[in-house]
Amino acid sequence: MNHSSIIRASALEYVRGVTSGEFTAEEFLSETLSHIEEAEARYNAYLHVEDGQKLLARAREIDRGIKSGQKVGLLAGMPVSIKDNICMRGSRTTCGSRMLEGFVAPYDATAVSRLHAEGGIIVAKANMDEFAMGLTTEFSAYGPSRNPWNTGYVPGGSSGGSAAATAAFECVASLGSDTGGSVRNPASFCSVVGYKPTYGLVSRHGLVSYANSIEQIGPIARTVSDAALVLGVIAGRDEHDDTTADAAAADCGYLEGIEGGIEGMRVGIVDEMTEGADPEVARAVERASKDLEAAGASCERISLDMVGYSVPSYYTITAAEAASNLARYDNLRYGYDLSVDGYEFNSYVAEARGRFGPEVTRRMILGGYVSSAGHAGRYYLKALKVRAKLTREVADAFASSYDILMAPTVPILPFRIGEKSDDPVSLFMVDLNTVTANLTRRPAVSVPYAVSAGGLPIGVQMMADSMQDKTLLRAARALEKRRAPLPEVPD
Amino acid sequence: MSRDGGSGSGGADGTAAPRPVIGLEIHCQMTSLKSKLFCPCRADYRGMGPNENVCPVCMGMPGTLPRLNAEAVRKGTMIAMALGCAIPERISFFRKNYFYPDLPKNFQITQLDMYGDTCIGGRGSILVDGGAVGIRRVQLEEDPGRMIYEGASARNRISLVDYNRAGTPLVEIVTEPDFEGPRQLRLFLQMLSDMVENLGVCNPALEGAMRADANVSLEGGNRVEIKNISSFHDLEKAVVFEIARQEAQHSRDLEVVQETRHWDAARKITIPSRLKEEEKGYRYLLEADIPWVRIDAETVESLRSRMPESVSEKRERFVSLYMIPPQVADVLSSDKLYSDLFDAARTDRNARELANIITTDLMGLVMAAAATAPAADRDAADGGDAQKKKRDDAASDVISVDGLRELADAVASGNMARNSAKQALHEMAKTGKSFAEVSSEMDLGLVSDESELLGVVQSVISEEPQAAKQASSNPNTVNYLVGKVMQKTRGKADPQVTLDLLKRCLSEG
Amino acid sequence: MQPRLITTLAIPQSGLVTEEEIESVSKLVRIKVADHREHVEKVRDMINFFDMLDSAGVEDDELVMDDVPVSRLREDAHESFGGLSGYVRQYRDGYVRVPKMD
Repeated sequence: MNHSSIIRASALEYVRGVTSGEFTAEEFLSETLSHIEEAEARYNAYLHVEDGQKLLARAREIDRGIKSGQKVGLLAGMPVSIKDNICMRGSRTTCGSRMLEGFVAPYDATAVSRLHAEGGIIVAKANMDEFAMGLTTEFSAYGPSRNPWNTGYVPGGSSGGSAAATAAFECVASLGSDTGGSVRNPASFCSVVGYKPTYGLVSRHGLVSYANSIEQIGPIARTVSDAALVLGVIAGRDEHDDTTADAAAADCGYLEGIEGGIEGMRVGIVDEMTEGADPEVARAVERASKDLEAAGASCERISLDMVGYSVPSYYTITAAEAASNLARYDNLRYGYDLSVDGYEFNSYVAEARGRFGPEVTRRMILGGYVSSAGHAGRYYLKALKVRAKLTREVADAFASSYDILMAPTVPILPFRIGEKSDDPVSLFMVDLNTVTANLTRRPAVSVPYAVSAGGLPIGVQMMADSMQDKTLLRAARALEKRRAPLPEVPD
Repeated sequence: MSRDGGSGSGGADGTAAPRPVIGLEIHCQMTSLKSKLFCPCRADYRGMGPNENVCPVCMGMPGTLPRLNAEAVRKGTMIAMALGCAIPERISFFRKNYFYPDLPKNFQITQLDMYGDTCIGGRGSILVDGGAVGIRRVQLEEDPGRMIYEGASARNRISLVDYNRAGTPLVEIVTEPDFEGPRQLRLFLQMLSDMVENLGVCNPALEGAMRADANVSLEGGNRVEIKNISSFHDLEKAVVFEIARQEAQHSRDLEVVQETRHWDAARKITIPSRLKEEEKGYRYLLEADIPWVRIDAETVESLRSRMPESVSEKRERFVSLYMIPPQVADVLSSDKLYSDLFDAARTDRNARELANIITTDLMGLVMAAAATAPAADRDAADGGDAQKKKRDDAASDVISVDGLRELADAVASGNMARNSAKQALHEMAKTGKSFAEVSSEMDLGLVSDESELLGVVQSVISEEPQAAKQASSNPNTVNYLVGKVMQKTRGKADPQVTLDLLKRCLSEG
Repeated sequence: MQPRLITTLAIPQSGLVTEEEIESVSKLVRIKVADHREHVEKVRDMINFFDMLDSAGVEDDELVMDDVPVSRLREDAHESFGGLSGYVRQYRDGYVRVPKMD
């Protein structure tokens, strides 16, 4: 591997290379840092890059450890980034919002401490839609990120910074968060792997809540195996999050058996998620099903009636939860400078919260509306019931017939910056294929599959039953292995 | 059932006012727990500097999640059981959303029966003063922080918040409007206070550990909520005042306005709340960060076996097992401090004497000691209840369990007269000496040595020739002589030895 | 190009949400909105879209919730975080200063 291209290594290649002495952690990190400096001018993937000298010192420590035969962790000094809604002690955590401009986290998220414990080096906090509300990264208060495949296009969102940074080699892997597709959607748009774990597999301690009943932290990486490696590091029961699953269920060896193939698995292609898709996208999914059949799986079409109601249910629940989760931002205990002098409490809080961007403001008004005394029965409660019925329908499909449910990750191709940001309802439909996994708490992954005639990435989504994350990774790896070679991301 | 205070004043037209209807909402802090409801900060924040007892969770910092305290669930279940409630199969939590400076997340995590019965207890009932008081529900929730105001005038007043209390586990008990008068109210609150203390949930003596709001109406009339009542003592006064106020309205044919009123402790009246009625839009949401918790039959059984006996069970045990007179058992069982002391120092043999010593002498001594003790600095802001806390401390200064046991043993075995025991107790309390030291130094032990007693017996016989003569035929007269010997020895003569000696001397002539 | 799906799921335009309602909800969630009209149309569109839930036929459905035994919860033990000074805005003696209540 020559000097300029070492940073294109996958995570597994990195670990092999650094532990075999092919290159040092310091070399790799230093290359990455100088590449970030150059790439950021084009992509705006990061909101905040950590102090390079401190990071390099950490890398040297890892190198000394490798030389002296000490344990350096599964990640062995690998440069990774995290979405800016994940807390890291002493580091700014803005959630892409001016509301939290001055906020420094007093503690590490569990995912962060687990990355650190396995020798991961967190180089930067990645750009995102404000408080993760959006699917283009255009709603970041610090400017949109750009798609490395075409900088006039959105990278998807809300973890757009994480996906763009991973695609553009500004890190080996990144952590995003997925509330309704926020890891899978940008992964699909940027041609990287995006993984949304079973709800409860990864601790949310330190993930700033948007819609806490359905969201998960998930890895974004350049290969399925890389995602599995990172997932293994961050997954598992955490006493700081009562909703995490027991250790036995959250087995850590996600790389184990990943090459086992898809032979004998039954794959259902969801009608409701493919019917209205862009023809190029629909054709990609068709080819993908042929690939899987060639690899020994059986594919057939399946209809899930409740999917048609998933998006309004999803937006109702997320808006109601967001209005509650974001209520704490009253600027009294932390936040930005705004003196309380001369204000009455309610007017101060309303004034301070005027800093939320328009999309967040809108969703909180929406959330207040659908959960208010007069409307909760018609909207919030009904949305919960739709979620319950959808969950039953999906559980039945897995129990009776299928190991994997497949569909396009996003029904349309990536679009231009500014193209849809003014039409919230048409943006809603971009979420149609991803929200079902969140509402039903099932694991789902977006695997890069093709590039359109216009040079834009197309991802394929696979979903498995609860706690079947290993099966899902095996199937995703089988698809990745079978697909036609993909072009390199343009420089 | 008796009714008193505030009742019965007739209307102007001579018809009696409708009967008062009273309901309560009691908030009880679980001060005996080691940590808050959702984080490991202290449950009892008293005596700490501002915002020292906080962490990212109870400060509502971004990204933090509640970590439900298992013991709070267990203790809450025990309270619900003690109040005769049904225990649900699963409990769940909700967010009550409203903006207030003492609420770090701008929502309070509490319980509701919105989607099925999922509060920690419900539909209970308890007998108070012969009448049943229904318990609508028992719920767990978090206490908010405390607001402090600085500055003399309203203009330059500054509001400060101390979040040490935020997240303290509370159990809220909502009664049905079943109370018929202040007496039943008072007895209920006393019973509840004893109960939570007895269950090891709360030290009711701590300031602000138990707080109550009351709903008062006259049958058929509008309901008034009374808030801002800082002690149970004031609660009773507030309710009495409010009933009288509503009756006066009624007698003048004025409608009682449905409203929230505040208790003005200084003026001893209720006044309409100045604050606007907070918008009712609490937008209750399921708290998805806390999974629903199963309270299975096994858990309920093991909690039941862990439950200390109730005051009435205790009283029953004292009477039937140790033959303690009912009036003494009443006093002893209703006070956890003394019933614990009793059980710790009790043997099958000394129980009756022990109960006697505690109720006739020890209680008075402890009361006196507590009255002179300086206020503990942690509770500088004395509530009426702080006395009780001081009293608990005083009791352990007065006497140890061992000392108490030795004293009762001595009386029960006939080695010490009751009078002497009283003196010994006072001496032990005063000097802090052990029973052995006191009994030997003060020569409080019984004189059972015949040679020592013989002289006294002989002098009594010679001083009472009349009685001595009758004694051979009338046993009551012998007892009279024993009494005389006792007088001369100031109660120290061993009664049995004295009797034998007297009989011998008299028969010898 | 517009995916077909979006048109098949076209939303009823009941337009029942009033500007006053939206204004009162924005007060409820304590956000000062400079110009309500900016949000009214979009919020109304979104809420109209949510009206689709009416036709989902879930009135009789029950909610399904995960549960855990009491033994899975945090055991009651004290642990000090060691203070939050430097992370929380403090006024004097460690207090947090807040605006006056009306």
